[in-house]
Amino acid sequence: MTAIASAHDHDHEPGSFVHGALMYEGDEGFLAGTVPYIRDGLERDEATLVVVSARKIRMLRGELGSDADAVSFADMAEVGANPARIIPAWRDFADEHSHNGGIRGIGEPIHPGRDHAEMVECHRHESLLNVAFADTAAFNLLCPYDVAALDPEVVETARATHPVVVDEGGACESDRFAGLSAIAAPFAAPLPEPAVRPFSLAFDIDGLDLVRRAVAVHAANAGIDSQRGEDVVLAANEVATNSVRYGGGGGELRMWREDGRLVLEIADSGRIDEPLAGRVCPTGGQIGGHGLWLVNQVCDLVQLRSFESGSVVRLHVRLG
Amino acid sequence: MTTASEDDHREALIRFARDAWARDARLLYLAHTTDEGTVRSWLDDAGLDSASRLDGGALELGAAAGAYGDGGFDPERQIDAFDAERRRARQDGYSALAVMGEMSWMLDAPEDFGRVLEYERGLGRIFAGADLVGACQFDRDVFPDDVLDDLVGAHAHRIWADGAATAASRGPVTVTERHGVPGVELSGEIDFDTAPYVAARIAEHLPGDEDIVIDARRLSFIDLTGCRILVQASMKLEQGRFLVLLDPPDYVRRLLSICGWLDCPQLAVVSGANGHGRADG
Repeated sequence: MTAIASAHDHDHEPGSFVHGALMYEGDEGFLAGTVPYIRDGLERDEATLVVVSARKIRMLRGELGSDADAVSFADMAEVGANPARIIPAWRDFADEHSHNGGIRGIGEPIHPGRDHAEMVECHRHESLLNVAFADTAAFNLLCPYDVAALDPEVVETARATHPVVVDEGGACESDRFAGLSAIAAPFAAPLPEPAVRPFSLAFDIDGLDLVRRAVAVHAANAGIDSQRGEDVVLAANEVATNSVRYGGGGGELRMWREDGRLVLEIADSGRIDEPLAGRVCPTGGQIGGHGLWLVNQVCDLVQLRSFESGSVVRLHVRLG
Repeated sequence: MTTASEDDHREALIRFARDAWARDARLLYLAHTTDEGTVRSWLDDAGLDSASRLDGGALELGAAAGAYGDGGFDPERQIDAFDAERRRARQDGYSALAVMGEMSWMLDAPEDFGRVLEYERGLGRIFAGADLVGACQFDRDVFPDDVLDDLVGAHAHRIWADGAATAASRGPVTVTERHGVPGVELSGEIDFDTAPYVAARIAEHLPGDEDIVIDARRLSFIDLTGCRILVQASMKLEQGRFLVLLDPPDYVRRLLSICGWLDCPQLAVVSGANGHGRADG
């Protein structure tokens, strides 16, 4: 199937970013939708990166044979466990190869194994791809969705986060696509309140050390080892420091456990207006803007929300 | 701070005065055993003209015993008095009030130790604000060690000195300088609150042509802001000079790597005892 290639040729400015959702069923459908797309890119000499599960990488390698040598593969479980780390991976690949011509990608961040909080952040990631690469030339990205295995609601959301939808009938523009301006607005989708009564601590600049102590104790009590505990303390400290600096001088820390995770939440009265906050790799000599980047690198999941009344950052740390 | 000799006492005053005036603060010195002429000559000899600063209001001299009033020691009244002095300094256009007091007056009334502790802790709360900085001098020769530990522990800002090194703390971080060694030893915790203080102390070592060694073996926590001030200090060094970060906590190398700072050309992170271990970065 070369449907997305034809979408690229006919429906868009040549050389723009094309972000398509591939609706497939089962392994056969996956291969039928992806293998021709990869081969089409190879014929055009496009640099190709595939980020899917290890199992699907093996499947693709088997199907592609020696053509697989020209394709880069990465395990989504490593790159995208925290979906906020996927855009930087695509950015790295694009920066490395864009001077050589077109770029082609397959990324499957959404699979039935994701829990609810992860799924919400994966949808946010899919949305933000449109903002992150709006100005990147000649980048074709196809995101496979297994419609036989995923909730219909998840598939419907994919139609809103992708400007192009590809199925057996070919590629067409999604009439449900939300549009760039809506995506770039502060993300104000509410987060569910914890089911248990959380630990709570208000802090200001004098209380950063208390934040660190409280987080260290909770991490240790949750069975997190000391090295991982250092990461968690560091992450919470950076978010709390942002509250001190930009969020009205302080905030409130809450911590609780849910679904095999320790959740740390820091709320303040500031606003997060940069939709890609924490998803842009700081360059070598850069001095500011590392906080949320660092947090995304050390936490299993990060949820940023910005409301009229202030901002909330939730850090999830997997237990056991 | 604890001082063991007159030289230490003088050096502590000069360091404190330089720091205060560099930050455009008013220095209030409360003497007990040192007379005014001696204090002024120490400052004058260090090139810190006391006469013009006394005239202009940047320096005020007082008596420690007098400052604490008569009729016994009243912590609350004393804290209120410092708070009033702090406001007056701000009204007079200074950025802060920096108070240094000789504490040997306490020996005249040892039964007040308990209340002095309470007072020191109260001062600590005021000192936590940016516009009042204090240092109390405890003479090591005349105070019992256990009393000294309690008193020094209560301070938000404190300095120790002996013949070989000077150590100063601000909140949870301590910066130690060994005389004649370019660099500092860091212990405790560095965060957004304490990093500017550490940065200022490291900046004192930037002139010169030797590498600057930051001994971080006893550092228990350093955050992004703390790492950033080290990176920024290294960026001020000319080619061929290094800021050597010695044995920081394990996660620091990873933090520097995540932020893209591990390849800063003038920054070297060294693991291994005595600075002779593996150097990279």
